[in-house]
Amino acid sequence: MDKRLKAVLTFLGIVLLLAVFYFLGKSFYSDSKGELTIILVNEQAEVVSEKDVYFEEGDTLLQILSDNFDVDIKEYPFGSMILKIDSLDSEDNYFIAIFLNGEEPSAGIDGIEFQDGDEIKFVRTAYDPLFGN
Amino acid sequence: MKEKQGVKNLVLISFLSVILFVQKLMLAFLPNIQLTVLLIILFSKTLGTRRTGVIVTLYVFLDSLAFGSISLIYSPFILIGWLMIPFLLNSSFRKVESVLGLAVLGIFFSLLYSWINIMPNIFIIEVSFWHYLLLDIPFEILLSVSSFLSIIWFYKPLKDAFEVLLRKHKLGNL
Repeated sequence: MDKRLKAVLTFLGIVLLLAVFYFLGKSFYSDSKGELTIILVNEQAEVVSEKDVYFEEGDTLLQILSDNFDVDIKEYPFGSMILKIDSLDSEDNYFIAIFLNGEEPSAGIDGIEFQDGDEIKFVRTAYDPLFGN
Repeated sequence: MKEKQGVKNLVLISFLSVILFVQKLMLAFLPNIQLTVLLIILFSKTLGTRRTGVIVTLYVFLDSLAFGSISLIYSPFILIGWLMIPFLLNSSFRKVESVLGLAVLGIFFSLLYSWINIMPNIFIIEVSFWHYLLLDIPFEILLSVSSFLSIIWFYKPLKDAFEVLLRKHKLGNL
């Protein structure tokens, strides 16, 4: 086989291989829109779990939580409420408070809007049945 | 004498099946980049359809065991996909001897193998053939190009060295 032809074919082959690897890499990474840090905190303000999770276009927070944690959600007429997420539960006058980047979000769990790099914290918080939190 | 040749053949077949399997394992971190097509073409040309058929069958069995894909749905298609190489190379394409001709056939065999293996996936995932084919194109290109390049670079030196060994041990094409 002619050496020049072999060199040309090899060059073209390698270029094609690299192009396919680039395409595959790009399509793999474009599938995930971003990353969230989810932190679970118990009633003693101890971090019990911290996890970075990926999300795609159109994913809701409820979907992301269901995919990555053991969650128990109850739906009410005013929206959804988290009863349990992994080891945090809402029994014995506790509820699970949500913080988006350290602040209480204005919407409930099914209305929270988030973006790449956000930190969402779930804190098991005591609830006073007489006077509220 | 005949018994001795039988034992030699048995060792040869086992050894070549292991070589096929090990190269697949070593290159498993690169998607669809493998030397399987090159080696099966080499074995088909030097050992004939029967012995290559046994090597391929052993290889598919080992591969399925290692990658957990041994099943009545997947394994027969993988086996048929690879067995097409010795079968076609020693029948329809038996006159093809040039390296470039074999390299082009390497592309054809890679695509044929990929297309044969689309079938069980269609039954299981229940997606349309065209949709699966479209998603599979990048992987088919990787297998085809790696087969083509490996054949134009390694087929001739491997064949020369392999034939010397086969002649030395009187194990040429029966």
